[in-house]
Amino acid sequence: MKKIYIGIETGTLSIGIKNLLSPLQEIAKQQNYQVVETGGFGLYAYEPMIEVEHNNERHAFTKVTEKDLQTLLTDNKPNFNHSCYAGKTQDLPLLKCQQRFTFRRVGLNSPTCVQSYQQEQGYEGLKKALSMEPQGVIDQIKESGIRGRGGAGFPTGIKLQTVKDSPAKQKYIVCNADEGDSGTFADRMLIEGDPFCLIEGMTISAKAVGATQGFVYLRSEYPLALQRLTQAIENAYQVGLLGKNILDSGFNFDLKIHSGAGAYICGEETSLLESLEGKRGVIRFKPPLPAIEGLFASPTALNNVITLATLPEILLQGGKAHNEIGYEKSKGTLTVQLAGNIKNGGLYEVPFGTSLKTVLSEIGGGTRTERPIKAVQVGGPLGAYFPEELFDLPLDYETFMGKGGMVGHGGVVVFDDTVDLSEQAKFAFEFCAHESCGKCTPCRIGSTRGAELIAKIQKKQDLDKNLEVVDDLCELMEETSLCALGGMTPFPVKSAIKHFPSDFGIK
Amino acid sequence: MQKIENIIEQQQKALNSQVLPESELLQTLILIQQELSYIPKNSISTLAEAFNISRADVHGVVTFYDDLKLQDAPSNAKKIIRVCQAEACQSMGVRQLMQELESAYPKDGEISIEKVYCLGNCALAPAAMIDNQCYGNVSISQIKNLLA
Repeated sequence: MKKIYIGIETGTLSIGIKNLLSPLQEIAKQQNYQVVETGGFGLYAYEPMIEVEHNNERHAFTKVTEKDLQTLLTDNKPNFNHSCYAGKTQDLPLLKCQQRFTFRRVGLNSPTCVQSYQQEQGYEGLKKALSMEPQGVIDQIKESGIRGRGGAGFPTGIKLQTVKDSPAKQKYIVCNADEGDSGTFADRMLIEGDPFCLIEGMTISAKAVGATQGFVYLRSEYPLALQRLTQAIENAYQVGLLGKNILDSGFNFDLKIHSGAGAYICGEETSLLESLEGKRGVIRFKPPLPAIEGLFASPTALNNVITLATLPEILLQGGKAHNEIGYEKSKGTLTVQLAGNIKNGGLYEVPFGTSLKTVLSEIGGGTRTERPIKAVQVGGPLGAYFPEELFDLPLDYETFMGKGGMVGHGGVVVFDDTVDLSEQAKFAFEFCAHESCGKCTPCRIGSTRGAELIAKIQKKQDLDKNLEVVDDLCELMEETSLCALGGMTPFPVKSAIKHFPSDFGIK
Repeated sequence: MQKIENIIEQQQKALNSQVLPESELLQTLILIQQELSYIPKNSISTLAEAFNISRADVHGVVTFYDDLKLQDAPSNAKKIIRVCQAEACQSMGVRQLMQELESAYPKDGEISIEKVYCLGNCALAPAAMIDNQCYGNVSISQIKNLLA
């Protein structure tokens, strides 16, 4: 039977795609089509989008309303004269401009169906890994040049090597799915759209380091991701892709989900481990590194969702193929999440090295309010605010670090010219105060003092002196905080003052 | 209290152990929060005993996490709306929206407004969540309709 595809994920559901589902099913039935609920492409300029299969190709209808549904099909084929018709899916401009590597399956099929996953070369990467020695798997990952996509950019191969080389009876694989950064939703899109890819990636890293138990630490704000991942794990157990003797290789791996409870700091790796152990998510002093002493004091490979979900493709295509994509030391692709005040908000997987300008103007299409862009914040709440002069920067870990910011998890939040950057700087401190775990003084107290200082600056109270104190406080927080929350809160603050001085009353 | 004892009993059966491991404390608290929509203050000692840890340890965990609400009794709120306060939603006017919401729904009324930081729907800001259902591009009139 020919198929009709509709993307069902938190984003599309949030704008009411459910209202289309039952009328669509009715129409499909009449015309002998089968409705497939996919994980969506994350291209919100097109949503609600429906695709109709014709001659083994997918044809897209965008911005579809309930009324449009009635005329979507004529004589058992797509109605090419329909006002919503946008051509073949593969030719859609916002999809064509991407290089989908990690996300290549997201949006194509039913997310929780093992068969659909396997039809798209799912589990081929794991099969290769299971036939190799653990060191061979790690060598492929090292050769790929992949770095931790959670934001820190640490080479994944070296991390896995450390865990492999730490002798212990029990080792763990932990997936950080506590995607708390504002402006980021790639982890959610991946889990909702292709959960098996994450499961496969975790199984590959388990094989590489010799772990038999894995945990996914999933934030509580993602109920649909929890539901889909739970279902996918159950399905994987049923067909022998998790549990004992995976794919008859003799390798065992168990996987469990742990829910978070609304604490941003639990996205920090050591705090996450404390939380997994059932405790307050207070960060741990490093060293020891989690790779040596992590969960329950055992060697633990802790990685972000996107990092783990990229491993199957690396194993399948070989490390070299991944290494050839990207820019200087940033290898592979970055899942840019365009968010905030931007017309074509959504998920765009592009090679590292693509410029911010390309992302903002060619893909983004300007602000939703039709006003000029004043600032973008890249890399979540701890990322810097950049002005237009810096939009030529290539998206690359080192380049952004050199400019006092970070690429982070690839979130780009756009602000128009009505934004007051002094408010954003104050918010950065307030957010840090709210989410601080309280363990170290610079973060716990510095953040509150920082917010007070910015409020004084806004009132032009001893402007020069207070600016000097903010600068001093930022330096102190950067150098003495125990983790990135306190250590990087100065990034948005300092960048806001540096690039937008007039918002702080500086002449 | 009966419900809490039931949850503890279930956990004891599932883990096949009378004393529950501390690693299950947070997950147990999440279950209680889901069941009762708050953590009763008088359940702390019951939990401390079940996990064989101090009351301070249990109290510490409950008060650390925003999702867990330590209260004497359930609140009057019939519905909770969680509104994202983070940067992407700020860029689309959530500060203004919050002012409108706060004047429409007074404190301690039937509608409780909770501030959250990021619902992961940043391309469709501002975002809000009611009963585990996320809404994007929200406006004050849409929220009023949803809560009516």
